[in-house]
Formats: sequence, structure tokens, C-alpha cells
Amino acid sequence: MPTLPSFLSAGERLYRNDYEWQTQLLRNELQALFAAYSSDNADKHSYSDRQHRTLLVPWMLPGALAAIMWKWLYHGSVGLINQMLLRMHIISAPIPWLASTQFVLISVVLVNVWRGAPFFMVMLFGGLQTIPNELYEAAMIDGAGSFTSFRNITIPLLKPLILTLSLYGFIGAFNFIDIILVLTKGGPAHHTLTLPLYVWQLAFVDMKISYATAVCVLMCLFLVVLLGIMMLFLKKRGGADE
Amino acid sequence: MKRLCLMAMFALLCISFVIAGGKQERDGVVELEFWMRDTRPSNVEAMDLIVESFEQQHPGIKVNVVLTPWDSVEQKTMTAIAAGTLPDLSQLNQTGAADYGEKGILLNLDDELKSWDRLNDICGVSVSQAKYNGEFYAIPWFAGSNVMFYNKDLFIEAGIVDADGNAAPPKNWEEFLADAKKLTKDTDGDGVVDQWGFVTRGDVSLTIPIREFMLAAGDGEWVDSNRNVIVDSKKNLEGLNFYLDLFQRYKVVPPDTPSVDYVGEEQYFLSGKVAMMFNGPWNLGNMYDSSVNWGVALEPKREKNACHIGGCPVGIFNTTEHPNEALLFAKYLVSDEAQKIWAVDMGNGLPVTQKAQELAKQDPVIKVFVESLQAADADNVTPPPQIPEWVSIERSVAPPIFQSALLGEITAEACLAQLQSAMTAALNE
Amino acid sequence: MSSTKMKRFFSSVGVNLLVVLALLFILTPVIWLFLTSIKTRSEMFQTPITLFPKTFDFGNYVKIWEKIQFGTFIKNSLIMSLYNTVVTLAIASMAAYSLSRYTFKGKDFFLRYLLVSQMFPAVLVLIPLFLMVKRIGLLGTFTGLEICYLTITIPFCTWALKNYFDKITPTIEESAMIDGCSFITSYIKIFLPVALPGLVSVGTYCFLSSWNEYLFTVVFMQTQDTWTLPVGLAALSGQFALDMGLLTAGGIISLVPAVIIMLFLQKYLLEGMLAGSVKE
Repeated sequence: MPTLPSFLSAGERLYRNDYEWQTQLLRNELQALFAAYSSDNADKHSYSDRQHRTLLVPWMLPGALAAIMWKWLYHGSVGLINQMLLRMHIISAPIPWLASTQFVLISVVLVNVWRGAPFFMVMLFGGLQTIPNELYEAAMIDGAGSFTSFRNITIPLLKPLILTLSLYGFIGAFNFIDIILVLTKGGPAHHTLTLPLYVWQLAFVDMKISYATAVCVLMCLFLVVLLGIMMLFLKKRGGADE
Repeated sequence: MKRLCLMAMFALLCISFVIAGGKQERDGVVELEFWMRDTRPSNVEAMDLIVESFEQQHPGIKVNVVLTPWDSVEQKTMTAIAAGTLPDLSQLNQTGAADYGEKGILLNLDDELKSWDRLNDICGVSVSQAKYNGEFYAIPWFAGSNVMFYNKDLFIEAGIVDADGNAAPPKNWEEFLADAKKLTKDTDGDGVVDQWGFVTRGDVSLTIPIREFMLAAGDGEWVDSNRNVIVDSKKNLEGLNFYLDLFQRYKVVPPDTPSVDYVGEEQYFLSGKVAMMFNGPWNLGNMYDSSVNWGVALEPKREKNACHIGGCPVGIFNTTEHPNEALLFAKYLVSDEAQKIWAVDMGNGLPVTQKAQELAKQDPVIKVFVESLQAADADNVTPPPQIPEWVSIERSVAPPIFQSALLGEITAEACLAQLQSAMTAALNE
Repeated sequence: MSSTKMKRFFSSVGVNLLVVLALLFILTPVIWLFLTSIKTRSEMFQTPITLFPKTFDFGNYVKIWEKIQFGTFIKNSLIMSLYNTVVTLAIASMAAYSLSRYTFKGKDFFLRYLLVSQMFPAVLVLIPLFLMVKRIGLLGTFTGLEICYLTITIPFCTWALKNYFDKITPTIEESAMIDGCSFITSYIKIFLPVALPGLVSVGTYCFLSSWNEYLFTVVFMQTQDTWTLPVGLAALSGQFALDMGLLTAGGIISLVPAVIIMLFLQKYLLEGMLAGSVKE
């Protein structure tokens, strides 16, 4: 029977990881917006089809394999990233991407963004189809560049979809572990220990199933509250648009 | 309408894919289900040969080998416990006898095994890995030990050679440190060190390397026979300090050590950028294929000739309907033919029987592994303690504390003190 | 006028640069995966690392078919992914349609429940699902596994499809029905084609989620004959070491069917859609 202290410690961990998920969410949204933007490019058909397909690729690899590749890319000696940066003289010594407390969170978030971007891209592309072409044509006639039309047409019309996807992306980011398990398994001294990873560890390494379930319940409660707030926000904005 | 037809077709398709799971018993033939965690092609090939040979000798028994990859075997096992679908026998990890024995799912084999004559042939450390609370809950299968891999070219280049001009690997800690310092340098003149004398793991698998240094320093015992935690000791501190100093003080290991895992460690060595590493026989396949001129030697000695001792026993679950046949198969794995196929021919670990070990020594590389195991055994070096909490301690309790010390967040003394209290808490829950 | 032209030029240069960077970011691991799979093992970890292999070695691709039942894994992955996509789309589209068009008691609760059910990590429902599937007697079958996949895909697909359907004005089906179509005909012939982009997006999600699914498959499927690609590739790794050449070759091969199917989906379905241009 989990006691109050264990609930509190789980809560503390939750708080600690909150930052990571907000960063991830933000990054995912930026990535998504960019994905939508590039889809919206002037050469709508040919360009976006090609890159549409390529952007799906991170999703097609099994998570563990992708993580193994990324871990190799981050390697201090035989990692492509360090080697390229060294050769271009941007850095003078290899950066310990997954070993230093400065960089490890960013490195992990980057991989998560890499994996999540196709999802946003695909969903937003579907949404983009519902925006009539005439709006863009009218805007171009009025002299708007692609960025302006993106800002004033695409974003407002897609807002409900973006918010919905953010909701889901947040849940997904909150719960993802298959990549972190390979990359850092909780990171140097727990610096990348996230809640789902903590739950996994409790359940399958420490064999404390009841405690793990308790933490899960806490996680869900937290998510429900957070999402309740976000949905209120969505209702207000959504109402105004419709 | 079209949609309904489509769905109907799919339903038919599904039914045609029904494959009955679970055990079957055709007339007179006993079918055993054996869960194997080592799933690489070389493991599968070896086990196929062993099973074939076994079934020839025992026509009434058929063995179904189910592959259960290491990264998901706990989920699979726990699900099977809940659903009552445990197999007859399974490969366990090295503290599996204690782990599953304490859960009460293993068959107590003490009566059958304590008077087994084959026991005299099996090395002591493997026997100890099959026992929990002094009784047999599993059967030894194969062993593992670590040795020091060293890059001969780097040694010769640095002038660390013997009288014949061959690379001379260090034999004790003083030589080891001196050599490592000599071998850590900047090879391309850009002012940045890009070659290191040693590489070790610093990610969540760092418990083993640290314990290896503690063992060499003369201790390495973390829990005594009465389940008292004794990790905070002077010699353990010496071992821990030696490990930390390699990274913090002497800087003879790469700067991203806190994130180096098994694969990363091997990649460092294979890139020719590090001169030494401690590792086990699982890397040999990749080693032979590489372009590095490597050799193996015993790990450097401090007070003892130490190395990490691993291995896997085989456990029989007490839900099995065929305990006798399961025991037959498990015992067969320790037979001369099976040990030869698994360990000697296919290199899937070290054999546990004396005869097979002597046979294995014919390979000059495996010889060093076996000698490492025997030297450690002779110096009373112990494998990880057979307590059910060991997996949790090795993988989730100890790593963050050790990593904190590695990152310099806490001192070595504080590290051991924290580990002492964390382990005590874990053992007393 | 020329300032507008310059603005457009710069913004298109900027966009192109961004696109190139994004493509680089997305593709680097996969390119590395491919290059590794055709390198010899001795070259794989050499420093300074080589981008293109000095000697091309396609041996890994041959070896992987010999060493493990790769063909079976591909077949099983295809079956499960297509199976999941079709069933999920069928169920979710009907559910989403009713959620979007009709109001009924408990609708809000149901919507929220869909969302909340996503918050549980799959790991926790593993044991209960296993027990249920075992009791039905579908353990070890594709259908039993499909039930697990459905728990992952249906909630999200329903939610997403509902959002897509909300954007489609109901007048389309209504006017068709006024003109004399039955409900089913209007649903299939009028509504679904308009909803196609949404369906394709969601279908892509279903396909790829099933393609990569590992945990349920490895726990539910005992025999190697029923394994899918992620499980087969995971078995190439040992406890401490792995064969990078085989693993990367396997990874590349496992991309091929997924890429082909995605190409097919996007090209034929979407381009047909865009040509029709139904946004009146």
C-alpha cells in the first residue's frame, strides 16, 4: 500500500519532469508549424509530396533501432554529429551530448521531436486540404508573401486542429519511453528520468507493481487536470472561430 | 454493402490465421517449452543443434525453444505468471535463482541435484549461481568472465613493449595507470586529446565496472550472508576512487563516459581510439571482424585477480507438468556434447565443466577468458550476491548514486554512504 | 512591384533553406543507417569516420535473410499493419461520424473518456489484455494481437476523425439524401470521398503504429513464425552486444514495404483528391 511519502516523491518527480515535457511540446509544435508551412509552399503539389513522403521516415523505423542510431550519432568519437562539427571547425572538441547535464535533455528532446514530427506533419497535411485554395490565391493577389499568408490564413484556420494535436502530442510525449530506454535509460544520475520511465523501472526492474500503478494513477490525474485546462482554452477559442 | 462484404472477408481471413498457442501433447510425446533469452543467430544455431541431439537421444521428448529477447523478458515473464502460462523451463539471468526462487515460481531442485555426480565437474562460481538460500533452484549452464582487451598497435606505438617488441599489457594497477596515461594523447596535433588509454561504462550499466575495481581492491562484497549491507568499506572505497579518478583526475577515459554503454564502449575500442577495455566474450564476433589489432589479457591485479563473473543458469518453473523431462533437458545442457556445441564451437559463453573448459582453452583467446575465471575463483572473487533484490540494486538503486559521483555531484565517501542506506532500505522492504 | 518580387524571392530562399535543414535533420539517421549497412565491419567504426564506404559490402543483406526468418517477419508485419488499418478505419470512421453529426446522451462523457483512455501507458494494460485474450482463446493468433493494436489506435483515430469530419459541412450528405440517396449510399459515395484526406492521414497513423509496435507483439506471440519485424530485429541484439551490420540491414529492409505502401497511399489517393478539388 503506497504511503503518502511515496506519493509525494512521485509528485516531486512529476514536477521535475514537467519542464522536459513542456520543452518537448513546444518543440513539437514548432516542428509541426514548420511542417505545415512547408506543405503550404508555393509549389504545393510536387514539392510537398516529395518531402511529405520523406518526413514520414522517422516513423517507419522501430523505435529501438532509431534510438540505437541516434546514440551512435551522438557518440563522442565515432558519432557523425561530433565529427561533422569538428570538421567544419564549429567546435574544437567533441561534445558529450548524452553525458553532460547541460546537453542531455536537449539531445533526448531532439530525438523525440525527430520521431514525432511526421505524426504532426501527416495530421496537419490532412487538415490543410480543407482550406480552400481561393483564400491563398486572393492573398497572393493582395501581395502577401508565403509567410504572411501562412500566418494569417493557415494558422487561424488550423487552430482547432493544432490544439487538438498538441493535446494528443502532449499525452504521447508524456508517455513515450521506447527511445529514452535506449538513449539514456534515465540519464546520467536521473537527469533524464521521466515519469513513464520511472514507472517502467518500478514495474520491471524493482518489481514493485503496486507502487508503479499508484504512480500511473497520479500521472493520469495530472494529465486530466492539465488537459481539462487546455480543453477549456480550446472551447473558448474554437467557439470564437466558428 | 461493399463495406460489409469487406469486413466479412476479413473475418474469414482472420479465422484462417488462427494459430493455436500453448502446449500440445501428441500421443506419447512430451513437449517442453524452453524460454531462451540469448536470441542472436549464433545462439539460435547452437541451441538448434543441441535440441536436435537431445531429441535423438530421447525420442519421447520434444523441446520447443521460444526466443524471449532480453529487453522484454521481464514483461513476458510477469504476464505469464499472471496468466498461468509459464513455460517448463527458462534461461535465467545470473541472480535469477534468487529472484524467481523468492517469488516462489521455481521448482526446488535441491533433492535431485545435491547428490548429482556431475556437480564435481562444474566450477564453484557457477554452482553458487544456481542456488538460493543454500538450496538448488536452478541448474548451471554457462559462465562468463571479463578480460582486458588491449590494442596492440597503440601499445607498440607508445613504446610499451616487452623484450621481444610485443605489446606488454599492464599486470597491476600501477602499471595500468602509467600505461593509460602514456596512451592518452592528442594524435593529430590540434590541441585536443583524441586518444584515451582506457574506456569503461558510465551509463546505467556502470555498477559492474565499479564492482570489478572493488573486487580487485580486495573487497567487492556488498551484502553478507545475513543480508547485512556492507558496501561502505575501505577497500570498496579504494576501488570506487580508482574508477572515479580515471575520469575526474587523470582523464584517461573519454569525456562522455557517463553516457558510454556496452555498445558505445565497444565502438570506442573498435575505432582504435582507446587502448584498453574490460569486456566479456560476447564481443568476440565483432572483434574478429574489425580492423583493430587486439589482444586479451587478465585484468590488472590490485590485491586480487578480479573480474566480473557472469553466466546464466536454467530454472524449471513449478507449474510445469513434466518436471522429470525438464530436468533431463536441463541436465543435458551441462553434458559434454552440449557444452562443446554451445560454448566451445559457437562461442556463446564459457563452459562450466572442467573438461569443456580444458577443451575451450585450445582457442588462445578463450583460454584467457577461462584463465580469468579460474584466477578469480582461486582468489575467492565472488559473482554478484544471490539475493532477489540484486537486479534492482544493480540497475536502478546503485546507478544514479554512482553516476552522481561520476559527475562530481557527490564525493566518493558520500556515494558509498548513500548506497549503503539505499541498499539497506531496498533489502528491508 | 519589384519590392514584392524581392520579398517573395527572399522568402522563398528562406523557405527552401528551412526545408533543406529539415530534410537533413529528418534523414540523417536513416542515411547513416543505410551507409552502415553497406560498410564492412572493419570500416564501420574507423576514425575519422567515412561517410561513403570505401568498400561496398552488401553481404549483410544476404546474411540477414539466411540468419533469421526475415521474409516471414515482413509478411507478418504487413498483415498486421493492413489488418489494423482497415479495421480501425472502419470502426473509427463510423464512430467519428456519429460523434460529429449527432448529439446523444453521454456524448461529451464518451469524448472525454476517449481522450483519458489514451493516458495510460500501454505497459499497464498488458497483463489484463493478456488475460482477456487468453480467456477468449485467441492467444497467439493475429486476431488476438489485433485486439491489442486496436486499443492503441481506435481512441485516437476516432478523436482525430471526428475533428476532420466536423469541418465537412453536413449539407453535402443532406442534399444527397434529399435528392433520393439512401443513407448508406450517401455515406459511402458522397461523404467518404470528401473525408478522404482525413482518412488517409489517420490510416497512415494506424499503419505506422502497427508497423512499429513491439511490446504487445513480443509478449503475445510465442513462435517466431508469428513475429513481426520489430521483434525480429530486437532478437538480433544480445544482452550486451549486437551485430550492427545485420541490424542496420534489417532496418533498411523493413523500411521498404512501409515506404512502398505510403507512396501508394499518398500518390494515388491524395493526388486523385486534389485533382477533384472538392472544396466548394
